[in-house]
Amino acid sequence: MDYQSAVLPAATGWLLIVLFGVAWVGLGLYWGRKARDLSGYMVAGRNVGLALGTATAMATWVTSNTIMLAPLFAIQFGIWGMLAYCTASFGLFLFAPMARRIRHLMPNGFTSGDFIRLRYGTTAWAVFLVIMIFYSLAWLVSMAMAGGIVLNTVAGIPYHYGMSMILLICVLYTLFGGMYAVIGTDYIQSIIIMLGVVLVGGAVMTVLPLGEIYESVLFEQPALLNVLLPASIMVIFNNLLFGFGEVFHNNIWWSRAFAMRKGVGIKAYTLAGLCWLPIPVAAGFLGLASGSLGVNLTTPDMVGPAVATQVLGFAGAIVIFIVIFASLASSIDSLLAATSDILTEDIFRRVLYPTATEAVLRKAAGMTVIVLGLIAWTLSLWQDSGLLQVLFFAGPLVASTIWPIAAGLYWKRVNRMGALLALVAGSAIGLVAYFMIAWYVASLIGAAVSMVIVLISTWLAPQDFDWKTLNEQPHRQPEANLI
Amino acid sequence: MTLFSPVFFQVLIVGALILTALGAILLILLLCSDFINKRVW
Repeated sequence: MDYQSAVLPAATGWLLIVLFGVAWVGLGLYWGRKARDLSGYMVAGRNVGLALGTATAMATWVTSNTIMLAPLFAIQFGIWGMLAYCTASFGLFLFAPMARRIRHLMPNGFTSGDFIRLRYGTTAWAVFLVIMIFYSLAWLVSMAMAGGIVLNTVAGIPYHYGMSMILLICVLYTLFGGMYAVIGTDYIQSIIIMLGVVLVGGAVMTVLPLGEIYESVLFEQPALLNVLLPASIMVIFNNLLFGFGEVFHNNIWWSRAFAMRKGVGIKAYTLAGLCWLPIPVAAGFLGLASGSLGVNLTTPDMVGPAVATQVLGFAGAIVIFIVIFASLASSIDSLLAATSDILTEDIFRRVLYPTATEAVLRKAAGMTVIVLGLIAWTLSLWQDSGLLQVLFFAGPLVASTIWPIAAGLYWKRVNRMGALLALVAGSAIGLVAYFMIAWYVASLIGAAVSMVIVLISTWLAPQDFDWKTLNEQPHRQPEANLI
Repeated sequence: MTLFSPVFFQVLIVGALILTALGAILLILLLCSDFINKRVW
């Protein structure tokens, strides 16, 4: 389906893609010179400073979903919908002290899988990997699909071409530069995203005063301004817990905790949460303005880009194109790198090839980036614009990981069996709630079940875990390099 | 039905845009600081 009223000529869209592609792949090659060894490639040498650390955590959490779904939340759930989306930043705030503890307990760690394996054993590790890989792939595919849809909507570029180009560019610079390239480009992307959101929001306010937007919403859909909209309040809890689960479990955030210089993690994640907090409101209010502006929506996901192009015309189309491209790339590259780390460290090294040298692992990490890109591309060939469904289907699964991870990091009495049961039962019952009740209660129920199981099992059979177990020795160097 | 007031609505939106702009400025200043102190990477 090509978007017939695209405001940006396809040639301009292609030009922007090519310019971005050349710049980002060039940066990937430039920063890739630093990523000679495995530690450099996977965790950027474990020496990332505060500016880059803050920006990479912030940019990764601003996905195209933030730009595209926050306005949709506003249309569906009103002011509470925007505020609910903001609560996802609480995951970053809570992860800040965890990042410090992770860096302290696991100075040589690479993945969140390492933690679960060492803390809870191989069975819980296997379940955890299934949850994380499923979720990461779902997120990656939803990002690739979003890219194809946005490029189609804004510039009329056929879905399959746009989706393929975004994936290709991200795969190339992640492949060449590893975590160095991911973090470096994330910094540039976060500046682009923030300035772009402010520019579009400011332009909307110039064209249409906020008082008029309020009056229009009051006239057409007063429920969106309701202080006590019950469904919205459920959305807040669901989004809050989904945010906790996603940030706590996913290797995207753990790999950054390992990558940041000692002492930087807690500050970087706190600042990233503060930087991220206002963005869903700044982007979401475009949804509330759409009615006043008379924007004709072809698909509900597209309300943000449609409002931006309506208000700013050609310039707005370029700005929103760049912002969404940056938000897509900042998430896709992080997902590629972090999931590649999981496949390399937890599957390839721990299961398939335990004696692999660092050089072999370095090659495997690059190969898995390519394989992940191909898998995401194949799954994205079937276009599906129901981004909300893809995103929240995994909600109860990730919510079930909150307690095993948070409690397991601080509380040595949490036992293996309790953590395993919490992961399995929390996911299963949360999924039942997803299908039997509603998506916006699924994470809440998944997290609640997981919490009850962790608490009761710890009370019944406390473990005496030795924290030193988490401090694994670094990878062995190949003998040739040691001479 | 109790509604959010127009003032709250305006403060929320304007505040979010100002905070977003401040966030961008903060990131730029942090990078300058890291660069001067040679602590970027």
